[in-house]
Amino acid sequence: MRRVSVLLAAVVLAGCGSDQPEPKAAARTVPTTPPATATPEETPGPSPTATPRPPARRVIATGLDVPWGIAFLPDGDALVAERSTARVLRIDAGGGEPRRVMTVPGVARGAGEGGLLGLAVSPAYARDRWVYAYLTSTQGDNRIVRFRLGERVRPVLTGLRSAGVHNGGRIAFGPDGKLYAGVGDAGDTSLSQSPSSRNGKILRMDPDGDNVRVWSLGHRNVQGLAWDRRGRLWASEFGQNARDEVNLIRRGRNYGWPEVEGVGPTGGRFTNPEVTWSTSEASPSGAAIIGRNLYVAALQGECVWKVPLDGASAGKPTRMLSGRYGRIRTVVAAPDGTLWVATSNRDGRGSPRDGDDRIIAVRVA
Amino acid sequence: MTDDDSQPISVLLVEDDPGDVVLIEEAFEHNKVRNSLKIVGDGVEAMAWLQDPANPRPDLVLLDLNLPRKDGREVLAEIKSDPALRSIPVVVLTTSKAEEDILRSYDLHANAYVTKPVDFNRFIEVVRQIDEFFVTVVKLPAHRPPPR
Repeated sequence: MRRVSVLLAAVVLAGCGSDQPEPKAAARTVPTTPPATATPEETPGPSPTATPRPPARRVIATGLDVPWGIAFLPDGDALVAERSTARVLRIDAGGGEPRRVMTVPGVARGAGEGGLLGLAVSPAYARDRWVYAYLTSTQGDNRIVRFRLGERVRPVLTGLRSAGVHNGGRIAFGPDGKLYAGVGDAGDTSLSQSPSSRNGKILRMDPDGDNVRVWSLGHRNVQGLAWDRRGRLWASEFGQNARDEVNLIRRGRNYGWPEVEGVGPTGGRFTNPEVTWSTSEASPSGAAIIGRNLYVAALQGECVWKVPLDGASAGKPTRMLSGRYGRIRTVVAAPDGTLWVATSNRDGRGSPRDGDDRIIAVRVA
Repeated sequence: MTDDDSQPISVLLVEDDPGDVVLIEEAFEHNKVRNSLKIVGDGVEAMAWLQDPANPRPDLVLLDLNLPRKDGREVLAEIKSDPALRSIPVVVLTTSKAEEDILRSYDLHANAYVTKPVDFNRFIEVVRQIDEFFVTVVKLPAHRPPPR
């Protein structure tokens, strides 16, 4: 009996990742041949006597169509969701051509900013094999669903208002094992402050969709969620015409939209952001934390913003990859400690280059 | 040139993009001679480093143009008009390929102007070549404190 429970515990722990990536086992080799669709060559690897350090930069995939959600399976394979095609692609941990493993049914196509958006993998994937997705449905709502790859899609949370804009869409499991979701205001500014609406909020729920709670409110369009090593939640958010934000999210707090955009008078009710940008410098979608730095993907800003975190404070952001890859929509911390960066130049607002959209793995200091 | 002639040099890198910093570090690691690389993230830090007598004088400066706080063009002008610093070779390493930036940099006595390749493998190779050139091919002025 004792041995069984130890085994079960090991399985649960293995699947129960925090949002900080676990370093992969030293035995896993860093690929030295590029994926079939990549044009640049691999950079030469480091000294063979040391644990292989990831290359400074590596092309993971090219030819994608608005990759939106990216999530890693416990074995290190990556899943990538394409917004308009509704395909879920799988990229092997060792590298290689992405393979379509599923097309998610019921996804609204050509739905403006909507479509198949965020992806998350169950913390207990080894046991339950659930993959979660946030999508704009053909039934006219935004919803969170889950499925086992290739199998039937089941609703987790439905009835979130959708629109051509401000659909939110990022979902992620927190260190507490709950599922969090950034839900936009769907273009209706009255929803963000309304306690009876789930729009304009960050929601938190059980993995099966029970106990849905508003975690924080007063949001316009949250598409980035990332936890630091102390379990604090940081969220990136699109402003209107003035200021984009990074907020330190605390339970129950009100982040002010639409009454305040950016830093402003809180009136004792609102919480100000930790970082702001002009919308042309950022338009931030995804966010990821590696070490002590928060990385924020910038669409209009065409860069990744690196924001040093010092406890509950954010330091001065610096631009990374500025202008190199065009619009950047998603950043994720990969199991090998690199930052995966996904472009969004085929989303109708960018100028696609040869090979777009692409995912690049960047080694971060 | 034999390897016996090649001594490590000290390089000051003025670069604000952390992504490019990693690529440049990678490039330096690929060469046989391991140079010392000091990195600063903006023009104000660059001048403070160079003008602090406690710091060793670098043998080479790699200078980005578009920098926060003080632009690389200003840094270049200040280095090349300072009698104590102007003999340090400065290679401008920038994303800009604008003719006016090229002309202006040479006008301000940049020793070379290099546009960062978009392809990151090519970028690493170019930086490696710059590093190798200044270690194994060119002659640099001797200076009193040896590089750390």
